[in-house]
Amino acid sequence: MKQKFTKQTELVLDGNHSAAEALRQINPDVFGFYPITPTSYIGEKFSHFVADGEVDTEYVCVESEHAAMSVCIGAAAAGSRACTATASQGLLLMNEVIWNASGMRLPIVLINGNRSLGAPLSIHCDHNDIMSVRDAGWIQLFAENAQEMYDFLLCAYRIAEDKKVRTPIMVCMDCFQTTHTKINVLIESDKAVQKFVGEHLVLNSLLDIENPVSYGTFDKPNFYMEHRRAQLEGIKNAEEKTKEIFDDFAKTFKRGNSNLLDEYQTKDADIAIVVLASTAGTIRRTINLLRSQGLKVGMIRPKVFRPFPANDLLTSLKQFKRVLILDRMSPAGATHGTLCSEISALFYEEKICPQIKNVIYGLGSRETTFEDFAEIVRDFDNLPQEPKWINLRED
Amino acid sequence: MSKKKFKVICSNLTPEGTSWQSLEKEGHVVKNAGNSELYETGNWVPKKLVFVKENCINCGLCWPVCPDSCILFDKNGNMDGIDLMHCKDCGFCIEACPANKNPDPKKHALFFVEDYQDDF
Repeated sequence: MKQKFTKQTELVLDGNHSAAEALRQINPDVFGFYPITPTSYIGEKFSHFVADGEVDTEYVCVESEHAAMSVCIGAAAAGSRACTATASQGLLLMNEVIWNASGMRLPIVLINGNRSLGAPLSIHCDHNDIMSVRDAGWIQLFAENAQEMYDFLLCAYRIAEDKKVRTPIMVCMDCFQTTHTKINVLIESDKAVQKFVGEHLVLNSLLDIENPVSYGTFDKPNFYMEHRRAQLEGIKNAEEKTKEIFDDFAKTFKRGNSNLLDEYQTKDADIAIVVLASTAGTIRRTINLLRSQGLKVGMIRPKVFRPFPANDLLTSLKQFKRVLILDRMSPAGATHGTLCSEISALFYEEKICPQIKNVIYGLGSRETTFEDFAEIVRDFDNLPQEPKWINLRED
Repeated sequence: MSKKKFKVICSNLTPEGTSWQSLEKEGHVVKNAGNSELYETGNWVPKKLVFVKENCINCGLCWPVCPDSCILFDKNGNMDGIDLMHCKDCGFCIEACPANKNPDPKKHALFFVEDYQDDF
């Protein structure tokens, strides 16, 4: 493999391109891909890398996302590094097989562009697709921008392949807002990345005929529960391991930190806003605006949604009197959005609980400006107990 | 059903009553290659495969096509018979056998016989 970047380089890239560059440097063994908006460009760019001989990857053009994930499962079981990219309906078509990937503890990396679901058909951003697979037993990292996408991908294989974790990982970015928005991205040198990612630790390879193993076996009621419980240990250990690897990343590349939460202006804040992925940028501007008007507001952005960073969130959120949780998904029959429900549940056994309000915003990329969020924060005390839908046309 | 007792034994299976902590740590795989060698799938079949040693020319062409490794050979490499405990009646060996190309059915080396159960 030839070296493309011999030193740290700053390029103007969108999320898809930065993800493709990260994959090129990692040089995975198998890439099973079926195009879908907004992540088609990852496959397109990566196919250029394959055609130009910049990677040694086996690029498999499949007939559906179901097949793409199946290719990854077979490849990972055979002992190779497998990855794929998808979004929205594609992720839901994969839904049947992603449970096998986590059940067989195969360290696959999936890049998702968080996109809304049909019907009505929409190609724009919200988190309904990724939240619908939150219980599949995968690790989920939410990248804020193209730079973080690149950084998370470098960490992804190390987290997933760790002997204590052995759990597949989804690295998510917001549809269009991250996938197609260009920013300055620091690309590390190929050598440094390969040194950081390291060699693939192959466990239980199907191709190792000296030590044969069977995958995808059948469980009767006398063992199913034990296997599900044993699987849980991997994703539980992932929390500690993710911190460790983020820390190693920060030390190696001199950026980022080991925290699972990204906090902004939280030290003296009265109101905390909890948000996932790309909206964090808008919220930072909201906070700057509100602070110039004398309102002390801070932001907490979980970088990891699964495993849910419960202890970290509880410790951080305890210090606030009021917490505003932004959910970019339709609650669809639930009382609140997923993020709000899970955070509220953390306080069940706490003596002092902050006042928690939930907001639903930006479904199908409904435009929500920093001024809209500022208006909501100013109006916090008057918000209803049920989720407030921002910028929804109402009579 | 066969008159023989239906038995499912596999030496590689995790023992009954194992706790979740004692299961494989790196995922749901069966180590030491779990197989169904002791699972007598030949019990299910409706027909019996018959091998006539006198008609066999020992070409060995039936061996590579058998999906269940049921073609048995003796020490000298001559075909010895069929593992009826695992033969699932696919008939691939019948198709592959050159002796079966003979128009006289009495010269055929491999063929099916109906009413397998009483004979077994």
